[in-house]
Amino acid sequence: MAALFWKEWRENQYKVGVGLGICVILLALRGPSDKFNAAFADVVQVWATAIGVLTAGVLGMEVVAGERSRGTIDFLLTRPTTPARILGPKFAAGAVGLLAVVAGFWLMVYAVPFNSGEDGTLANWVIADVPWAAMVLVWYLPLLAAYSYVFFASAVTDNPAEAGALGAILALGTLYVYVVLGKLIPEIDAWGLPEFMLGLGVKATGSTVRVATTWTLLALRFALSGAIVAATCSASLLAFSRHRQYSVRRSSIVVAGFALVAGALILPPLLPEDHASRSPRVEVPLSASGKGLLLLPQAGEGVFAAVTAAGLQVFSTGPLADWPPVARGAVSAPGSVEAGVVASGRVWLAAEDTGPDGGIAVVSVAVDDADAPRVLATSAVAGFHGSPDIIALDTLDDQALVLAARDDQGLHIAALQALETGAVSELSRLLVSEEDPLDTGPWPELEAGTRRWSVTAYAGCLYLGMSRELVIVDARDPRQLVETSRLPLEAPKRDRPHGPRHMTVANGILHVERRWPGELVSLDLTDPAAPVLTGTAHRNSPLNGGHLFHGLVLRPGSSRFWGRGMEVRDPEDLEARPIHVLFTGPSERGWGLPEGRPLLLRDHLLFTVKDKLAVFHLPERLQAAAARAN
Amino acid sequence: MTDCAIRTQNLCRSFGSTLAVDDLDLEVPRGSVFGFIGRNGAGKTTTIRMLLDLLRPDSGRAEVLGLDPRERAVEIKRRVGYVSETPTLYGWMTVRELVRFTGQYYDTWNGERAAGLLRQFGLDPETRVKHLSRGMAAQLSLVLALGHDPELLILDEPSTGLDVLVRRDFLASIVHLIQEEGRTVFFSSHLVHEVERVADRVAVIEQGRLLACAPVDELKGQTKKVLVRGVADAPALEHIAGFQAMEGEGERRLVTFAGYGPDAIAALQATGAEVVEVVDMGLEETFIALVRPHVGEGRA
Repeated sequence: MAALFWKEWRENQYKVGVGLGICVILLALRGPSDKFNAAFADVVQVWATAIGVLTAGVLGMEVVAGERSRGTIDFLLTRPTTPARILGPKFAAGAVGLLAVVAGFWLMVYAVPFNSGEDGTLANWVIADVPWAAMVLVWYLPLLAAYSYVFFASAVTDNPAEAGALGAILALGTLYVYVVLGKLIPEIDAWGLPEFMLGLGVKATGSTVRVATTWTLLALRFALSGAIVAATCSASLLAFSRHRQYSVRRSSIVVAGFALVAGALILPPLLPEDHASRSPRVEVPLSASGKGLLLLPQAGEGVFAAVTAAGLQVFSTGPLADWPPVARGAVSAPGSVEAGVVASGRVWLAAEDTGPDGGIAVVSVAVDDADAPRVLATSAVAGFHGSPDIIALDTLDDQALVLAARDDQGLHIAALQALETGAVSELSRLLVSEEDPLDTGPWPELEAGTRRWSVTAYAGCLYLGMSRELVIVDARDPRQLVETSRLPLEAPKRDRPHGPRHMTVANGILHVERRWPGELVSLDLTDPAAPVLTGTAHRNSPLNGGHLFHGLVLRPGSSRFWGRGMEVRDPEDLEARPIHVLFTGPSERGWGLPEGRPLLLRDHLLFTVKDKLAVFHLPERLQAAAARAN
Repeated sequence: MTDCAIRTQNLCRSFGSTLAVDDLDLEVPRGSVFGFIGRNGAGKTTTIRMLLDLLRPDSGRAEVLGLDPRERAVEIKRRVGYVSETPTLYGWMTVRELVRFTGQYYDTWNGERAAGLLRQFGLDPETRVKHLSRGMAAQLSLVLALGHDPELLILDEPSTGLDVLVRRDFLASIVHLIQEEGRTVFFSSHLVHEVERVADRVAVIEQGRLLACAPVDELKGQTKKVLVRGVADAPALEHIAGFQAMEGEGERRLVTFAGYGPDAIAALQATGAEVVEVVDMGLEETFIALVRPHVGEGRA
């Protein structure tokens, strides 16, 4: 066996050498070139995937099929040895070669720090957080599984190119079968196997690496790769022992490839559109773009309102909590409504672009009668520089509102007293500024109107999620807003404009999204004016493009390669798989992320997305998690 | 212990609708030099591959050194040396590396013997295998097949593609090896005169079927050409057992008999023909005489 391993290793040497040579070239380019280094940071996962997959393919396809095509296989078969003793060293030599290339690649990545360019700040601090060996393992295990597929194909064919094609078809076919089964049987989908195996995304930020390098997932990945390797090696041995001149016709491979592609295109629409538990139970069109939902207990049991850009639409579930919701009254507001809140038994809406100078209007709506909501008063909030963007409207106490709006100067925090008449009077204002690297970034036109900030109120204090910092404002005395502290959240990094920073309070803990690295920062709010950092969730942020609400995380799922889904996660148990997949479906269905506040109503989850109100039935497990979080 | 190095019984193997080996019964005595002759595609290589468990028979059984290849393939390969029709070796290795690599598969590898054979064939151990000529590569294959002192040497068309001189040297090496005691050599070839030179027994195979299996001299003796005078037409002779063909025109004709004996002469004379001379035939003519009647027959 040692002799054959030596022979195989010698034959693989140049392939491994080419792989490592590419790594050395990349390393050489990364050293002197800041520009290349910065660009490489953004595409490191692409490089890792390309080099890894190519190496796995090239090493695997030659193993047996190459010997058959050259005619040297008889040399081995006529030696006094068993098929296992032929295949074993062959597999091992390729696996070691693959490991060498993967390890070499990551050595190259770790050897030179990523430089973000402008200020020389290291941007790969997250990658450095992950031990090199763990990173190598995370990437190696799925690539080993891919290699084993090609190895199997090589064991049953007599042409390396056919083996490569067949291996790719088998690997993709397995994934495809899994996805199809997942569509048919939700329990299988809930295993989330592709996530364990293919969660390889490694931006320079290392976002997804943390998913994979948690011990649980690493163990799962190890088990899954081991199972695939065991299965493919057993099948290889069986085929090699019994069908020694087995040959797959090239036409069969072409047909299988076409069948796979055609199946991926044709089959999904033929499958059940969405499993019942994953589909919105009801979709209700709204008159304008939805901005969030508000529960209106004062108007009756099961009454709620959708805040839309045009105003307010009231619904009720009916006395039997039946769905779809019944449309009740509606009211329109001037300008473009961006946020709404319930205080003093009324709904307060904040609207932009309400005057010739583009100010902000706060509109109070009486909702005592769900069928006839009416505008009580409209108050102008002035004092902005240019056209302000509304970030949030929230309550400090039953009589005081807080309006957060961004203009050219910074973030205005205005405490407003809710008067009995429905008007508001400004009690105080605090201007919070922050040097935002995005303001000087290369995307000024994209920047315009981008709402990157977010505000959460809790126990009279405000938590402002800015571009790079979390700013804590003590608003327990609405007449005197005081900025108490700032907590740095992000390393300076230029990036594309992105959505608001997501935050939520659950169980007296403030969860704040940190984008680089993607993770959750948890702050204890026992003293709301002086939150204490209790920890960070070392994994990909479940808020990466998702929402936190009621202690649950709602985020787009990506485990289905032909569509998009929305999954719910428990922020208290970040290691866990999604609790529930709300829906899956082709992206053209038009589902996006929820806008504004979602609502938990009885055993249903409601949110607005674009100009629709979506109602999902929640399974018990999700209800329990929501109840626990609240 | 069986007296046969190789024995097959009702061995069959087909590829698709083509029957490559058809009910083959073969016995190769130990210590013999056994020529396995047949035209290209007659089923020689298929038979050999079944003996080495490189192919599984559809039915029937084979025994090599008293062992069933399906169950004791490793043991058989330990005791058998094999040179394939077109020995494809690892070209990137040097001769020394390939010999060492091969040797690690055998407990009984005789390094000195292998080195001696390399010297005998004039093979430089430091030469890369891909730089060897075809003849040298064939000789190297022979070295690799002999390094572990096999009891049985199986050669599948060993001299195919070699020029005349190299072929003669190569066969001479085999002859030299034959002289070593107790070794059995089983080699297939379509070059009958080669086999005639070195083999003491031959089997003739055509379209997967065994046509003859006998000592060379006996086989040659079975087929004769008889020069006759005053014979009528061929149909007049067809009733004679062993009649194969009649050549020539006019008064003197040449009649070929397979399974020649005194009965054939008597039967010939009974037709009114006069036997002028009985001509001995070489193995090649014998082979042709055996095979010709089967050419063109269906195989499936």
